[in-house]
Amino acid sequence: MTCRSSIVQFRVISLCVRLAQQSAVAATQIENTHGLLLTAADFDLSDVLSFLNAVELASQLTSAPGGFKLLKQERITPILIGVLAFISSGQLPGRADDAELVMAAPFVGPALVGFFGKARCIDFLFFFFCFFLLIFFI
Amino acid sequence: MRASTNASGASTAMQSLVPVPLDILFACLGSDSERIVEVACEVSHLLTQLLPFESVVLQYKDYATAGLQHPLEAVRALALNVFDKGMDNDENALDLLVLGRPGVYYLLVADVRTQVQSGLFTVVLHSLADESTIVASQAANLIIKACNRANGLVALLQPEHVNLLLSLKER
Repeated sequence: MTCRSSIVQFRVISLCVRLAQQSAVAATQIENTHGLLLTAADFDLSDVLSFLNAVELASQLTSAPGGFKLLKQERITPILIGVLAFISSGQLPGRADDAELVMAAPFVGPALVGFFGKARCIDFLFFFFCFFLLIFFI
Repeated sequence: MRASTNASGASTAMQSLVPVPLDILFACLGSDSERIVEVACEVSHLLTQLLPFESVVLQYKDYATAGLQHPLEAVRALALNVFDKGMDNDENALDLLVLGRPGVYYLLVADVRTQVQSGLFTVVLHSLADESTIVASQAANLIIKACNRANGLVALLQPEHVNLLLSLKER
């Protein structure tokens, strides 16, 4: 009667994101219970659907009080910036799943841009812009 | 007018049925015949609406637990639906689900962590892993409703429940 683990994983995270969206108190309480909300480990580049799910939930989390701060604390935004930068520059990190990421780039790229748009994180977009320029000139 | 009369008649008829031992009806939910289970499910749905949520949890807790773990999606959805209605209508619903008894939670919040759990809330949390998206979604909505109650989030974030959620997330 149970279903695939990655689906359950995102159901639990989705529940916690919905709860965190309800109030600042709820967000703080859930945040203090480490591991229930998104963590860096939930962004699995070897599974594109999982990765897209995680990005979608990260987008939803930014609308929760202190959600973006939490993403920064969990070192999630640097991961997303890195992936977006590599997709944009065409230079992917030396990983076993690079080929999958190249194929998934048309889906992952817009999802990441959408995330940063929702998060309205100008400082991170600026960082990304500078990073892209650096790679371009190198 | 006619519909209203019919509805009133149906309600009266159901109220007169309530004294019938519900154990027998709920036991039919465990039948091998899918058709019997379906009919029992429909009738149970109607009858449980007439019962106070407290008596569903206190008298028929075993059936409620079995219903949440039933192989048929319709029965699992029925059990969650009963809890959902209870959460809407009974102010002690959270206590009943988490502790298995009414009116204690608000008085003894500090001691709750050490008390024995009713198990029903734990089974609802397990339903997040249900193979049916509908049932899992119902469970999530029920948990959100429970957390909107006073101390609901405290109940969810008890170590036992957090460990269960983490094990579901990370298995």
